[in-house]
Amino acid sequence: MAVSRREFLKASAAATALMAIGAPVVKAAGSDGMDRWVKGVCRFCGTGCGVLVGVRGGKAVMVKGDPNNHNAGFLCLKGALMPPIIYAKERVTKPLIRKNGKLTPVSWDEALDYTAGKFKAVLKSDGPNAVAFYGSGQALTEETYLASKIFKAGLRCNNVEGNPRLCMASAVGGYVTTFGKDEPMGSYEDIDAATCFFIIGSNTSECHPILFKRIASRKQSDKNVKIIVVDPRKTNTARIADLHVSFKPGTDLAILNAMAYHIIQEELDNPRFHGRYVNFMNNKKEKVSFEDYQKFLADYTPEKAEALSGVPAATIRKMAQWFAESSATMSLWCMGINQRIRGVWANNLIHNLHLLTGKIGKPGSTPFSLTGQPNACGGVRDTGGLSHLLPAGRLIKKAEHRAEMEKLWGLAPGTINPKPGLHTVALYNALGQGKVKALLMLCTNPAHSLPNVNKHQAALARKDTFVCVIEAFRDAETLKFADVVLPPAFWCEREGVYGCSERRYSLISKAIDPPGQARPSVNILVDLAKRMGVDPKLVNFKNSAEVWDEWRAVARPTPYNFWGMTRERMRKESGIRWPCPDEKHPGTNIRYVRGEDPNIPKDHPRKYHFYGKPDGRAVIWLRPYKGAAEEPDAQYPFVLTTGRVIDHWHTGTMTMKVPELRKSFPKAYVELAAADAKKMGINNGDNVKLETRRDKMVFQARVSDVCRPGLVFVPFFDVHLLINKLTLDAFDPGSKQPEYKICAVRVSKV
Amino acid sequence: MTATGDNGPKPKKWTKRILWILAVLVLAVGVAVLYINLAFPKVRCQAVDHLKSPDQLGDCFQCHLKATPKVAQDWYESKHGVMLVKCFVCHGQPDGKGSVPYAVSPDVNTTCRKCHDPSIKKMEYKYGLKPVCTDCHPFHNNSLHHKAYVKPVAKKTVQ
Amino acid sequence: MAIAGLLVHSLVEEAEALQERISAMAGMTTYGIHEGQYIVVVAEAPGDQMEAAVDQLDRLPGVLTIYTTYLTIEDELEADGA
Repeated sequence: MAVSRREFLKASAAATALMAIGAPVVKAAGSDGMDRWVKGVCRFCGTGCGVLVGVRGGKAVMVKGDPNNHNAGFLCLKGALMPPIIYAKERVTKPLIRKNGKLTPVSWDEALDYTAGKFKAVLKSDGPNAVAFYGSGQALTEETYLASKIFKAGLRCNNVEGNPRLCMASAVGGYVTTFGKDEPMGSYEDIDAATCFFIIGSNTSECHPILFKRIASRKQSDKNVKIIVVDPRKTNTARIADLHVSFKPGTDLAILNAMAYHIIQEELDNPRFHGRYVNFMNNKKEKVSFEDYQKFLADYTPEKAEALSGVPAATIRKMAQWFAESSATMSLWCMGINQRIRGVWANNLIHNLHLLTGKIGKPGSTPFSLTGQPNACGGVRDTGGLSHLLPAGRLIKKAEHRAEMEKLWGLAPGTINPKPGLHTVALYNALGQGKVKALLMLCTNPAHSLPNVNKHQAALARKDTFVCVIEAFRDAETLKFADVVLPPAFWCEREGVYGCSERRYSLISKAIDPPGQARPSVNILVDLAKRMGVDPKLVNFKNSAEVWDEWRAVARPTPYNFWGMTRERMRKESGIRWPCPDEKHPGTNIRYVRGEDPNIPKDHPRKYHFYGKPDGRAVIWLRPYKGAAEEPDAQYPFVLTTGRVIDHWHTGTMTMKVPELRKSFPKAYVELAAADAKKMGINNGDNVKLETRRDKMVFQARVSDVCRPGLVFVPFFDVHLLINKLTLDAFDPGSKQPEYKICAVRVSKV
Repeated sequence: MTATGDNGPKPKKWTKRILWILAVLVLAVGVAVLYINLAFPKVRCQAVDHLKSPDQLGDCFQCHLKATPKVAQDWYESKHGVMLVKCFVCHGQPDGKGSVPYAVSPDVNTTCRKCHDPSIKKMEYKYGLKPVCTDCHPFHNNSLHHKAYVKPVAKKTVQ
Repeated sequence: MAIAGLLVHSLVEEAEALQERISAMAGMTTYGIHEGQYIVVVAEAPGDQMEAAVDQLDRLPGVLTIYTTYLTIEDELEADGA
């Protein structure tokens, strides 16, 4: 090892010994020892913490928080421990083609020509609907925008999907049906002003730790702040709650409607606000009156909701009271609400509470959807990287939107296929039926993360399916099914943008060079597209900065308008929130409010303007109750739910490379309620078999008071214990998002 | 007592007594040494040698609840505990094979700065160089609920 | 090469002699005596020999006990192909 590094470590060693006995330590000049600090964004969750990567001798050695981004220099344990992942020995550094069953290193030309050849053959024999792209909320914005353009404009194929379909589609559906436009209207600054937090279906402390920290700090600064945590598990998040509400999984819609019932019954609603700014619509999309809404809610009295959900009526009333009477109420939710068979409706019902009480568009009052992945918002939702979308909120099914994009992209009119493509579950079903024959994947691990994964692994394993995967880690489960693997530059090895939950676009700057023959994915996509026969004019980009400039222009005529976020500005600043129409604009804190949102003229007659809807009014939807797709029954009496833990990110391909995280959490387990464990004679550490209609698996038991009786929880990071073999892929008919959170399971001691 | 200049019987009695005392001392010391080295081997292993129980290495908290209960409880109730800043983030792994160097008292510059750099810089600008943050700021029991933490109260007043 | 930060707690009257002796040993660097009885030592040794090196120090006459305050073998991980 380099001598200077060794001296540095020796100095640290001596320092710790001296500190142990309290001797004074003098900090040597320049002892942070870095050549430079490079600004970027954390690779993990949708909080989107800014980071500074310390580079020494061409290597990323240390990561600390960016003091100028929203996280004010703080990081969670995953962010703080990123460097070893970059240098993992499992990094794919050469292109690979499967020859005789084994992935074999080849040249870039061979891998790209082979892949392009396969795609061209399928396009010729079966047409554009037989190919597909499956991307990710962890790819760069520029990568997803480019892939979407290549397929939709270049190949005339709308089968462009991404893993945000599995996590955020319901939130998108909720925002679009209620407000007409996707994405939250508030920001993290609302946390600093709220006096009531309504957290439902989110284990914020483990999945958005720095936001959890901000919420806890808010409560610390003002004792009157109330925190309600609604979750069938009593997670670490509930440690700071004033009220933790456990409920029967799948009864969330009843509880939310019951809260609305109480608010109206106690006359805590805001008639001036909803009279002016809200339309009431029933489930058949017919406009109805406020009185109709009241009548509708008569089926959802707190007493009726109690019978369904197990939550005492008095508790429901208390929640509703706190929600409505606090001076500023912020709702936060994540997968518990989104990964449901009626996730869009669940989102609507949360928005309803804010629209009913007028707690919206004011500092601290906002319905804020927490995004799981670091770039589901900026990368996939905003650039239109899903099978029914075009960039910046445009829709494939709308002729005027297609015409607009054809003009912006310089395409002949009618180029874009008017029929939306296949959504994720449908795509993998089509793969399994041999209807889709060539698949290009970027930055995602579906053989681990899809629900009911045995079925979809079989689809990927088909001999007549060609799968090309752009993936950095050799041990990703999906590589078992890959015919070609292309090595990408990872995280800070290339420059590009991530857009996090609060509409903030931040630039990841290039800190180090990629290893071996890995290349930035933007360049891989351009090269591949040209070899597939896509018009080179469509992919005339040398790097991600050029893609960014085109994307800025494409979004300019829409309410997403972030024309002011030039690449230079992104380099200087630490993230800017859109809309941001010009370079002097500081970014937008609150949307839909005159004076805050640049899309609203300064002289607009009304203060609030939900311009996504034709008459400027948001919608309170009368959504009926719907439980889970697979409720527990006599044969499978428990509910199985899955989720994350703070130590691991998603499928563990990254966090398992950090020794501390691997040791801290080496295996998945099944979390069991103490009462259930006692009845079944199960002790901590015992082997327990979980069996659903789809598969069975044995886990070690972790007995605690976290899960409510009747519920078991398994984290999904463990590649050797793929819990998704047991989950089901029933999906929300509106958003097509699968219901990961609830299925029926049989639990027995082994 | 017979007074006599005779040196015969007195020295012999004293020598014998000294020898007896020495023998008892040696025995006592021997027993003590053996006791210290051999008694409670399980506890000694756990306390002294992290490396001999590798499967416990990851779950610092569960073992330290028994081994160092005050520190563990302090941490659990503190801000770091609620925010899940787990042991290894600052202390690394006892087998030294982690990405964070193992340290009982971590080096501020490579540890605390990862998250608290802005505050440390502010301290440096305001008060000049201070040797160790932990002289004033509690790292294991910075309470979430303690009123005093609303404005961090230093254990010593900084001039 | 592993690096360890050590505090050698010695008998007060042996401290100076011990410090000289330890400085002369291969892979050992001393950083002074504190409070008359604690010698700060940084030991360098290949990872699999570190325990033996510390043992060797422990057995020196006059040493009461050794506290390990820091240990890293990260460069050996790099050599593994990280």
